Amino acid sequence: MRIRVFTLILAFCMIVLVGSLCRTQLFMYERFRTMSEGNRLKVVPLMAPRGTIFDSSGRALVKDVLSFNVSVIYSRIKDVESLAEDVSRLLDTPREELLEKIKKGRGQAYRPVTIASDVGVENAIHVEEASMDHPGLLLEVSAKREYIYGTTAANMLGYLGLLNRSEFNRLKHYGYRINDLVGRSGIEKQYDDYLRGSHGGKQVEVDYRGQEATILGLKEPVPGKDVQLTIDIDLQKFCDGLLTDKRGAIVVMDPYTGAILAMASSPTYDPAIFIDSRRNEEVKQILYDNEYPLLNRAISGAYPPGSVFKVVVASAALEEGVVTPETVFSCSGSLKLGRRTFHCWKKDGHGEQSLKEAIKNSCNVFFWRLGMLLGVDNIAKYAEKFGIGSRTGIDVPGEVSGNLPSSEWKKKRFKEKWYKGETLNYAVGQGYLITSPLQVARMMSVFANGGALVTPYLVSEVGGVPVADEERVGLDISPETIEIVREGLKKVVNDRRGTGMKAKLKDVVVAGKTGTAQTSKSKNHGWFAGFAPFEDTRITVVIFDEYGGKGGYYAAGTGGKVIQKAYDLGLLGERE
Amino acid sequence: MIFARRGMLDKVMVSTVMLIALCSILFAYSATLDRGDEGGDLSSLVMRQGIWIFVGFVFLFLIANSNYLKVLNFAYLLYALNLAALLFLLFFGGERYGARRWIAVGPVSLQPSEFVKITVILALAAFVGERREKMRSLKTYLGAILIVMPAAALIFLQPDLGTALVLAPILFSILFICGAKIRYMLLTAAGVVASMPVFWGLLKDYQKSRLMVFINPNIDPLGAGYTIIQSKIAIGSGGLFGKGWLNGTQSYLKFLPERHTDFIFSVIGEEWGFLGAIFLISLFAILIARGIRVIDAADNIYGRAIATGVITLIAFQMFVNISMTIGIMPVVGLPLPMISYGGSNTIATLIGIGFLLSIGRQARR
Repeated sequence: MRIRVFTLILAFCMIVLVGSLCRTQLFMYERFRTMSEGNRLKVVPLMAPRGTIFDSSGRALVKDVLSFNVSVIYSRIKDVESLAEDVSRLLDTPREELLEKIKKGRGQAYRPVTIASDVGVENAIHVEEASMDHPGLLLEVSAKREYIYGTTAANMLGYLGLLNRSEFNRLKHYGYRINDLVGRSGIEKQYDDYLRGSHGGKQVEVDYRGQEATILGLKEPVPGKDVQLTIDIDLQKFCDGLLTDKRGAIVVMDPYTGAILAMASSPTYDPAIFIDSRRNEEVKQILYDNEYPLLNRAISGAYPPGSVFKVVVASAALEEGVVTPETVFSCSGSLKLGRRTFHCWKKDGHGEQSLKEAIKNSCNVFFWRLGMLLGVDNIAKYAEKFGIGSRTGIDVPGEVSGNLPSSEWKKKRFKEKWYKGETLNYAVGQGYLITSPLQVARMMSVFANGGALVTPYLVSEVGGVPVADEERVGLDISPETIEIVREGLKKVVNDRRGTGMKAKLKDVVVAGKTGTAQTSKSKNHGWFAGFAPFEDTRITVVIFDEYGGKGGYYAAGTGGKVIQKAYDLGLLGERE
Repeated sequence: MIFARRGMLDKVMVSTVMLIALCSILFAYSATLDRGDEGGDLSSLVMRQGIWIFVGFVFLFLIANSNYLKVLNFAYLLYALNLAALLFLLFFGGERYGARRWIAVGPVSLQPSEFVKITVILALAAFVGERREKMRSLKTYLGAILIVMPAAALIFLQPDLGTALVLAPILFSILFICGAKIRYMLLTAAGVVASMPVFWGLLKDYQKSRLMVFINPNIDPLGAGYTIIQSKIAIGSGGLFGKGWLNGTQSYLKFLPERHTDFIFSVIGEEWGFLGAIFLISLFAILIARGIRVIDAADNIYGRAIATGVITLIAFQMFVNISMTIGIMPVVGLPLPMISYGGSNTIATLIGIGFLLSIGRQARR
């Protein structure tokens, strides 16, 4: 009897064992198998360094540099306290802070957890030495974007940002990873595909210490391609300097090729703050700044061009034959249209003058008359030819098209007919017409290069391969017309009492046009668009002075400084 | 009585034990094979385990062919010597893994606590045999407990909670089978439950943490809980058919600590899967079933007592060991009889089986 009870007890134990094994090995098999694989396999990402961005003479502007992070593998640490103590002393970081970060590593005890990032080479060497005494302490090397010239050209170069969840879902098939940095604006965004390269990875079998036992698969990372720009960093720096504490933009472009030599926008920002988690506050400030420092005013700002637009109206009038170079109109200081009187900027009037003189004086009455003779749609036709109101096709994102009004446009937009008074505004670059500084540079380049519209570009080479696709569209404007306007533009700067005389230089013959764009606020925008040297022109310069007051007077002075600097840098010499 | 050849050895039991011993060699090999070295030397641990098994079988056949009743004459003496060895260890034993369990005899180290499992059975058998007329008396009951107490205390102080605990089922199953009053046993059980809090205070910190971790392995996934989690992963990932002999990733990459000793079953479960585990448990079931037949057939109370003790020892250790590897019992450090690497355990178990064979042989008509 007792033996039977004894037997039953043992049998019961056996059944319990078999039942438990059933549960563990059959019902929970999938779960444990996954855990076993997870234990064993580890994918170590091998990050591809991002390409370097160079200026036209090969000076690095933005590049990836090594950044040293201090990490711990929790499971390997022998003495947490003394490790924290030593690292705290080396890095001059509070011990408690380190301890807290180390403790966080408990959750994933077999993986490195960063406890201090970007510690600098000096500290990195000390930590490396200390890691001999402290198992579990290690130095990890990663790439960090360095902006060698700080805020210079920031708006054009662009900044980086972490890929967000929805972008990741959209882009994961293209080799992006969840914590990847991607170009958010400028060159970094436009050429992201080339700059970022492709990540590699190592699939390893790890043992219980998290150490690699066998490498199962290896994909080498492919570094990103380098990008070479057309800009000259010295000129760029100079332009950025001119805009310090102002709002506005400067564009310097080769009028024959469209290559951008400098493109500045102000206010600007420090791109380094976007990749440093410790500087999130600064990023917030930038994002909520009322002056929009992230806006590249040279391509993304749209403003009325004011009097610089008169070159288009002058060309239209000559081409359409409504005037000849000899035609003379008299300016009495005002013009009557119906019951309204329009005033020239000079109260006493400019007297009798030809087209060239009118350009020199920027006489509004003269151009109003041209406007009336041409009519709105003729002005629109030529403005369109000169590329006003459409994107230039430059190779950075965020360009605006501006607005090119016409009678048809107005009918569509406002369901109203076009009024004659509006034609007068149009003829002097006011009203519905808005454009970007880059469009103005392109427009002015037509007179610098003798009649062709170019496509501006910033990148000349990607990965050592020339990519510039120089495009020049002949505008079918007679050389005579171009020449007459050119003469006028030369007078603007070089004649006594020319409106752009502030741009006059000893060493170089400068030609150009000033402009004052009326705004709804009390201060006006100032413009200067010019080119130099007058013969064999090398650069077109556009200065946009946002709410600069005094109109083009100061803008012309700034333009002169830029051209002088370009001359000093040897950028105005003979073409090779 | 010199050599009472009344019957043949139980061939089923002998072949079952041989199969279990074969498994021991196979998995000692798998668990200790270092696949990191190209063609490195065969693990010396496997050679040693083979030697232990050989020595164990020599003892097994010697005892199986001898008269166990004659050995019983020396039961108290053997037990006393064993206790002396334990006492010696307590004062002079070299510490290993924080416990004093090993005693060096020439080139080998012996674990007296493994042998005491057998000598205590013999001592108890001698005692209940002498008092077979007074089995239902309180004196006999208390006397049996007193016999076990010094061994339990000495082992507990090593400290080795698991081995100390295994003495309890041995004691009570012998008392039960040999006819002690059930009321006493129930009272003892009630007393033990009531004094639990006191015992908790006596436990070492690592023993407490093992018990706590048993309740929730995740409170300390890298410390005490680590072994349980890794062992469960190993066994669970084995599935129905297992990953194949020598192909267990958990053990090869050393995620499993103590994989050739207390956690050898994890390797078996991972590499041979559910079917392999059932095969091994079946071998033990056959061994135990044949053992129960011996209890039934034994022609005297001495034989019954010894057989009961040995069967309980093997069944209890197997049950607790496998249970802890699949996480249904706390990790108490009991070996899987004959399979876990270790000379003392293997030899002691085979000696025990030698007694089973001897008793069975003499009981045959």
